[in-house]
This record gives sequence, C-alpha cells and structure tokens, in this order.
Amino acid sequence: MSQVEEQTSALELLPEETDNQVEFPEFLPAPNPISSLLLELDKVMQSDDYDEEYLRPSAQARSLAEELLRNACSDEQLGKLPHSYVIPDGIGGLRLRWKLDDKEVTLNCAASAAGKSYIYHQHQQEHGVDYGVEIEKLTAWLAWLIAK
Amino acid sequence: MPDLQPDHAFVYRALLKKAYLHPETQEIQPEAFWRRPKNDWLGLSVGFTPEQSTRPFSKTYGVVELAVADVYNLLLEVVKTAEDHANLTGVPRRAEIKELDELSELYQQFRDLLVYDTDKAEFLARKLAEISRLVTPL
Repeated sequence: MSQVEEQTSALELLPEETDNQVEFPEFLPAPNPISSLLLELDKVMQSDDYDEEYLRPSAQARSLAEELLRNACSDEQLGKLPHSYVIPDGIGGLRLRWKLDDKEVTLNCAASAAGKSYIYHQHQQEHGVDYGVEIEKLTAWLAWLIAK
Repeated sequence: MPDLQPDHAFVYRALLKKAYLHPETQEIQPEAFWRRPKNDWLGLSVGFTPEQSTRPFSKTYGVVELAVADVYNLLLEVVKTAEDHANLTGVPRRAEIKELDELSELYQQFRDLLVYDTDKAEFLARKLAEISRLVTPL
C-alpha cells in the first residue's frame, strides 16, 4: 500500500464530526484516555459531598492514582477497559472501579503513604484483596479483567 | 436472644452520599454497605419503612429496599433493636478504619464485638448492593 493510500485509509477511520458532537464508529474503542480519568478524579475531589465524617480524598491519594494510571495502562489496554467509576472511600482515599461482564477490579488508593492501598478483585464467588499496590500489580489485574 | 426479623419482611437503608448511586446507571454502589468509622458499631442501620431509614439524617440521596430473606441467604442477620430500627449484622468492618475507630470514646465498649476483614467487607457489600432495590429516587 502506498503512503497516499495509507493516509486515505487512516482518514476514513477518523470519527465524523456532526454539528458539535463527534461520533465514534462502533468498531473504534470508546475514548477513555488517561486525561478523562484524571478529570474524573478531580471532579470527585471537588465534590461538595464531604464533611467531618466523610473525608475529601487527599492529594496523596490522587497522586498515587495518577501515577498508577499513567504507568500501568498501555494505550491498547486503555482502549479495552470499560469506563471506570471513581468514588471516594470516605476516609481520604480514592477508589477506581472497572467492571466487565462478571469481573471487577477496584483500585483503592489510601489517603497517605502510611495507609494501605489495595486492589480488590472479584469474579463471581471468587474474590480477594491484594495489598502493596504497585504498577505491575495493577497492570496484571487489569489484564486479568479484560482477558477472555 | 436477638429479635430476628421474619423472612417475609423488608427493610430499608438510606443512601447517605451522592456517590452511592451511579449518576448514569443508577446502580447502587457497594460503599453504601460499608460500616462507617467511629460508627455502625453493631451493624448496618436499617428501618422498617423508607421514612424510618432517613429520619435520623439531615440529607439523604435515596433509599434502598432489601428483602430479609435475601439477607439471610447471605448468612447475615437482621436484628430488631427498636420499633423503627434494626441492625444488619455479620458484615465485618474494613481493616482500613481500625485506626479511626480507636480514636472513638466508644471503641473500648465495642472492641470485643468488632471484626475487621476488608476482603469479606468488600464482597458482602457487593452482594448487598446486588440484592438491593432503589425505592426512592434522588
């Protein structure tokens, strides 16, 4: 295939713009880049739902979540992941939950380095908590989630 | 003897946080069934009507209904503590809240009754969310 033909094919894959909306063809993965996840984190942090008993997520929790997301997910993996639901843990931590069919992975980023972050996974009746959160562990659990 | 509720009964739990209900799918989130730090010493609070479940709180974001028979199927219990209140017992606390619990003056009173198990708390919270039905919209 010539370079010109390649460019034409690539252009055909681009989403079509209609008025103010961009429509993505069904065969392309839904846009779910790191940036939109980080915006979700910020939105949760800025919520007015917090009080003395239900604590706002800490900056450390957000930093840990961002570091893990930036390094644990390849673009290919991100394209296959379902939308993540971001929710505070109420004690200063942040949680990101991915569900696909009957599997789930939840990353719980603790409020501080002294707290224990963990990854919870569940598939039907099987479940477990993996402490000592590291980039490699999150990569592995997300790979488990999207594996057929 | 604990005053257990009959199989055919229903109980109601208030959603105290906006995030407990997914804004798009309306799916009830498991965090709604966590025991709170420095609180929920004897179990998860429920009422026998939606109104009873929300009465103690200044703001709520909905109410969920649970069939007592479904709760018993999870090997949990529903114990009546007052005419308008029951505790859903058998759900452990997440280990992550133990330090906060210890800051409470009431901790010493309840410490022998408290079980901390994050894995089981996460699992049961999902099961309770699954058997819950939203009865009062936002």
